[in-house]
Amino acid sequence: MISNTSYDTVCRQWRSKINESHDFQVIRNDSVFRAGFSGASVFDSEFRKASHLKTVYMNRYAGMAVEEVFDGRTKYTPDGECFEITTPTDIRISPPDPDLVRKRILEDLTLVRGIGPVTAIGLRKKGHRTIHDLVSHRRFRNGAKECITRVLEGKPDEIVSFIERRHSPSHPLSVLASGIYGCNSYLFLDLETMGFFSRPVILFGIAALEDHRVIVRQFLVRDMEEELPALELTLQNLREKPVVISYNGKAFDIPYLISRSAFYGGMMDRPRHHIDLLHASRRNAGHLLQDCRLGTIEKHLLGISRSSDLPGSMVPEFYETYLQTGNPGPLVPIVEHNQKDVTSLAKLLFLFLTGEQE
Amino acid sequence: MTIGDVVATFEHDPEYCRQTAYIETIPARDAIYRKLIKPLPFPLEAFLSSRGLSLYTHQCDAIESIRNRRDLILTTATASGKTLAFTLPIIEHLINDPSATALYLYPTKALSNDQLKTLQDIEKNTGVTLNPAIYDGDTPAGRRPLIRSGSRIILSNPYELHHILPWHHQWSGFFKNLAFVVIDEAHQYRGVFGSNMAFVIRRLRRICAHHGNDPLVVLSSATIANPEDFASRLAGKSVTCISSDGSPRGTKRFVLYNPFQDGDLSRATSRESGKILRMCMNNDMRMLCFSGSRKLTELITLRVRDDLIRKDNADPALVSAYRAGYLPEERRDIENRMKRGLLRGIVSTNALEVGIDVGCLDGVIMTGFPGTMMSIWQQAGRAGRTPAESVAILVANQDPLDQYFMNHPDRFFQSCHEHAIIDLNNPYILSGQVLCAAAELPVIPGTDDIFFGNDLTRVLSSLSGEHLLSVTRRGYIYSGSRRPVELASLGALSTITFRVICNGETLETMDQAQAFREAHEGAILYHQGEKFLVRVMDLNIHVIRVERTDVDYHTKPNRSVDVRIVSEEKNRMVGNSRLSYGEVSVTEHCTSYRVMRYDSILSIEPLTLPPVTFNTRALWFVASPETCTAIEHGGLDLAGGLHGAEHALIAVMPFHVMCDRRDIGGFSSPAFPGSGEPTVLIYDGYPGGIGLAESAFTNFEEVVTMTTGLVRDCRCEEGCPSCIYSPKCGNDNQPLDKQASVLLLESLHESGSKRTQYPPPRGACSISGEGN
Repeated sequence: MISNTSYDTVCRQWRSKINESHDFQVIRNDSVFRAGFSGASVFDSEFRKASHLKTVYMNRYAGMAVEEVFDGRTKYTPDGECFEITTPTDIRISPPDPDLVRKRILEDLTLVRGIGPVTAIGLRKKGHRTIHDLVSHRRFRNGAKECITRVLEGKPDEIVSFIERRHSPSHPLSVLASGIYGCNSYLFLDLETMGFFSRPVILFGIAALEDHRVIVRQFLVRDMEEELPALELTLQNLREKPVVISYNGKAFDIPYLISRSAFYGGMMDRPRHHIDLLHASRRNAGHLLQDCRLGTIEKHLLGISRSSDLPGSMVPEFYETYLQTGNPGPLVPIVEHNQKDVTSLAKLLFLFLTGEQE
Repeated sequence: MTIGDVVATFEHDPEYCRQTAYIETIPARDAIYRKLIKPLPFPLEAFLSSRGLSLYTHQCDAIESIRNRRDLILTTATASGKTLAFTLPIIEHLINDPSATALYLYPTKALSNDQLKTLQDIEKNTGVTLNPAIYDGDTPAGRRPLIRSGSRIILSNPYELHHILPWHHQWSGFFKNLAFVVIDEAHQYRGVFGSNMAFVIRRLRRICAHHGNDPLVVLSSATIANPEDFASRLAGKSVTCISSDGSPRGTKRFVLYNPFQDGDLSRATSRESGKILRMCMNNDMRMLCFSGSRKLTELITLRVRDDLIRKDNADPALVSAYRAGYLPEERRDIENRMKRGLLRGIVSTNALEVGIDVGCLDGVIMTGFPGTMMSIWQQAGRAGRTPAESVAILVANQDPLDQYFMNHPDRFFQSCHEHAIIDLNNPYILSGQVLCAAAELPVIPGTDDIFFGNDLTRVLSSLSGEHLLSVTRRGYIYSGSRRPVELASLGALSTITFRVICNGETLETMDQAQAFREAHEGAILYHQGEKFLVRVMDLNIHVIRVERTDVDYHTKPNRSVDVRIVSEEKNRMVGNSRLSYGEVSVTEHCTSYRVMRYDSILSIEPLTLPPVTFNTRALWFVASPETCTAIEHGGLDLAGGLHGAEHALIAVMPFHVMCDRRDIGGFSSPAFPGSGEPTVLIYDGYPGGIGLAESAFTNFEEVVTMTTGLVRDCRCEEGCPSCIYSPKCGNDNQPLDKQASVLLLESLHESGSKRTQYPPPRGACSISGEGN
């Protein structure tokens, strides 16, 4: 018979083993030359700033309950409850008009069977600016007509898969094509987790568009018991919207949801249409930047600079502090960080769709 | 020349016969075949007849057992067709159920490569589509999804499986239809590694159960004393053993050769081993010579080459060293040269012991007892794999077990005593594995007790106390921030571990206590037979930096051990003493170390290491007042007697409880702290214990009988390295009293049986004299 104290001692050792080692690497002296390519690294100054931030927030919110800190409400599901925080943000750009998008799609001559990039240049020189101009072209007449019918009369799903057959899913035109769905169809998604896979999700951030506003809804896991209800609510939202927009979601957020679903014995299908803005951003600006983290892209493309933001890789540590102390302070920067991330997704998408900035 | 001539040399040649301790003839055995009542499906029968193969009885037993869905362990001899025995019925099942899959686990990558070829060969010749494939750390990411979805037999290893399990949703098709888990070379899963493996298998079975599936577990192993118990612990369900061997065997002559028979301690085992190798080669034998380390392998090869040139005027290329990591082509080349007689001797480390087939050998020489009887038979089994006569020669070291076998050959050839140990109660292993499981599927107390034992609830509550797990409606889920499979390593206990680094490359990891003993600054560390000098030991980041060295000295720590008994869990009487088992707290403190050349101390250097304390399990006994009186009246030293008995028990324990001498520690005192009683205590050298002391507690009579024989029958007067001296004693083998040790050990026998069980040693003369 092993004594209870013996198990406690052993489990304390597990805890200190975790505390001793981070999942990320702290880079001394902020040397960019030491920064790996994995992205799981934090500069020394960021690390110290964030640690300071944690103390500040913990002092500020000591003794308060989560419900007092955040303006939210408890959501009830058959699997239990979780906490929903809703934040509307005005954005001063208008989502694209689907008809305009169709028009812009038809400017791409290479959609017509038999026209490659080189032929397209030649045709354009001869004055064929859109596919409409090819309707009387001797050779491409049939192809052009077929294309026009597909783009003008097809359902959004059909148009998108038609374009994705010609181009890769991260091609600007594929991104543009998602504009056909109309702004009610988007679901922006960003997860905050305890690490890279096989650990819980602690905050599910989703957003939808209403008029000129981005409505961010966050399902916060106040206690691990709330992960499953929060997951269910997120999946429900995902099922309702045809287009998922994420940043690195093809490699991270969606597989993560699938694996958490499987963890609880469920099944989740991949979304029908998924635009991963990481790939689009990389095409757009990757060659100019030292990395393609969302923060870097934001700064470059949207001109947004986050002053007191939490590095994403430190989220697990902040959350663990909350779990161990019950002090909701460390949750505040996590929730804010996630809110900004989700909102940026909407801004980035519109930038790619319309070329306009806020 | 024949085997008989070589044996005659050992019997009559004055240069050898005086050192020949014993020669055993293991008789030949004919093959026993049987026909299956229900034949195998056509492609398999056709495959067998195209190869001219008939089934041995044990193969039929295995096939019928698998057909009846009975979990089993096969323990027949090396080269008795074990792989075929379980693969045939597995393929039969895969033919009948087109969705079924099988997972083959091997302890090393090299073994899975060899087995893949076998499976591909069967696939090609039977036309059954299996797409066998290896899935391990070397498998490119691009091929992985295809293997998961398309292969019906996947070969992998425990480390990979440990990392795959959290991704089980990607494997749901494979696990849902998993009909067989094959665990080959199962005897390698013992101790810490084996105990972890037992839980990895349970985690796999739990995930299969989640998919409504319960795969059959099929194991194969070398001969051990407790196959059914061991396999059942490893698999987590009751397993039956198939051990009656139907394969043929040639006559084997087994020579026990003792260079120290006449008390001449100036001889070196490796030199004698080389001499015998050359003698056999000159007799036209094709020989394989095993040695303990890479260094020795090279030394023996060099010496034999030298002598071949100088003394025999022969081609030095007749002998070759064989090192681990040879490519298959190189292996084939060695094998071909052996077949054509261009090569007559191979000197190898233990790399050739497992699985890999050189074939066509006439004999095997073993340089020193390789640590386990299991290794003895695996190594001896390398020769005579075709039913021809063969010879095996064990050249003894000066060590206690070597010398014991030389003096008690009957024990050497008796049935197996080695218990392979798996401990399901070590709190480090159990809690680490529960953490991993809770990241795969929620862990439900009660329901999941069948996998993790009755302590599960307490482990769960301790882990959630540290917020590593959280309670949810679905069960306990992992809520830490590190990947648990990275926290819980399979090979070591997850306490504080030190990494030994040479030129940026990690050589090994060791726990704190071991690191302080063997890898303090200035220590000479041995790793796979090579010497390293420890330059830096960083106590903050747990890193030890070493460099290769060729110095001629070695180091030994001076160490004080302190033991406190935490709780006595069980006890019983042995002889007139009380034998106990329970939890103890051990504090080891390395205060200085000795720099030594051979047996002389060059200097003593101070160390400033903090003491290490850990809780573990131990057995202990108290010398009875009568025994103490007897020792006193004989003018003997009680402390020396206790100390000697402790050393001898530790030396003998590995013969009963499969482990390394390094895995157990001892403590003895004429006035034990707390009780003040004369006590000998033997503990597991691992935090939390790993089942060694517990198994020795159960089999104590066996252990003590053999220990008594070892000490009493040793030729020395006052104790020597072959009986009560310990190479790792922290007190420089002081004090020791051999006579007192014998009295003490004899008092532990059941009364009346102490002198009758085993005869006094047989001299070599009586054997070599037989022919005169």
